[in-house]
Amino acid sequence: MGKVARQVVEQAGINVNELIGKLVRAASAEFTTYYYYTVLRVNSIGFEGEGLKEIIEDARIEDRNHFEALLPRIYELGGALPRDIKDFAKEAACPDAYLPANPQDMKQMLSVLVEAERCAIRVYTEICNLTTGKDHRTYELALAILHEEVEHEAWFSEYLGEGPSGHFRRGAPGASPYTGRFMTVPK
Amino acid sequence: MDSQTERRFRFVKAARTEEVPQGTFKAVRLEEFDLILTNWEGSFYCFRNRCPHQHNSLEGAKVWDGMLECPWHHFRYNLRTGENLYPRNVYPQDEPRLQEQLHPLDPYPLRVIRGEILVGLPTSYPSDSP
Repeated sequence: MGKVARQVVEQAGINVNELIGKLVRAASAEFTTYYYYTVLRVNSIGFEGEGLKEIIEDARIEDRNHFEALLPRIYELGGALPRDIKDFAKEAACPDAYLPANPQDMKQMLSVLVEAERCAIRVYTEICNLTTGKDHRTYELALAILHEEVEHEAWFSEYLGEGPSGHFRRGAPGASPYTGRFMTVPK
Repeated sequence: MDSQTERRFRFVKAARTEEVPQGTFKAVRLEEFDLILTNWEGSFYCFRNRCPHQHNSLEGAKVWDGMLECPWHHFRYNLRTGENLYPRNVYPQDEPRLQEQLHPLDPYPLRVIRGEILVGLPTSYPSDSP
């Protein structure tokens, strides 16, 4: 734990335990989404599915990166991950991204993906709103993750025919152009 | 409100309308009932202050587009009917365990009279029923 790191956040008027709770739930959502996106990716088969598979892979790896980037901040603030992974998974800030009843139906698959990204956008917007001007380190981290979640949503939304994303997929799978600088383990 | 509802509920003052501005929530405790009031576009709603998903408090929830979003796990509910909207729209229907997570919010009848929000509390409890 970083004693002063926590103290300055408290002094800025943030309920640190509430913030830690939000960060743990966000980390859980990233970790569980990494798992569920793995299942979704392997089931994205066929002509359209092969293209979708690459986008899911970028989002999948970047979600794992988000988990890795959030982890140090939780402990710096005096928080911890639950000892039992089942308790951790149950806390996820977003519903699980289950494989749909018919994985061959690309629209069903994309609906799961785009809803998961939209939930993540709300989660990090809340954390940014809570920390802006008060907890600079958490704010910058949450904002970096938010940038990537917004891009993920736009990719899947484009695939659903909702309009252009304005982005191209990563040069390397899961490159995390925004969150990369917060990674304390190799990507 | 029909006469049957009148018999089943007694209406108790919960708040004044100005205490629940558009898009906000107010938690209230009336007798042994923990409730939450909200206002969306001038219509007021009252629910038991528990998300049916994991029974956490709804304080800190968001309301938008006629929906309530739980602050804990971001489940979303229709304000008018209380039914779950998300993740119902993406959970596979062939997984009964997941469907168990999709119970609706527990709504309470409500009246607004001269700027006062009155909430209908049950006149008898399930244990009193024959």
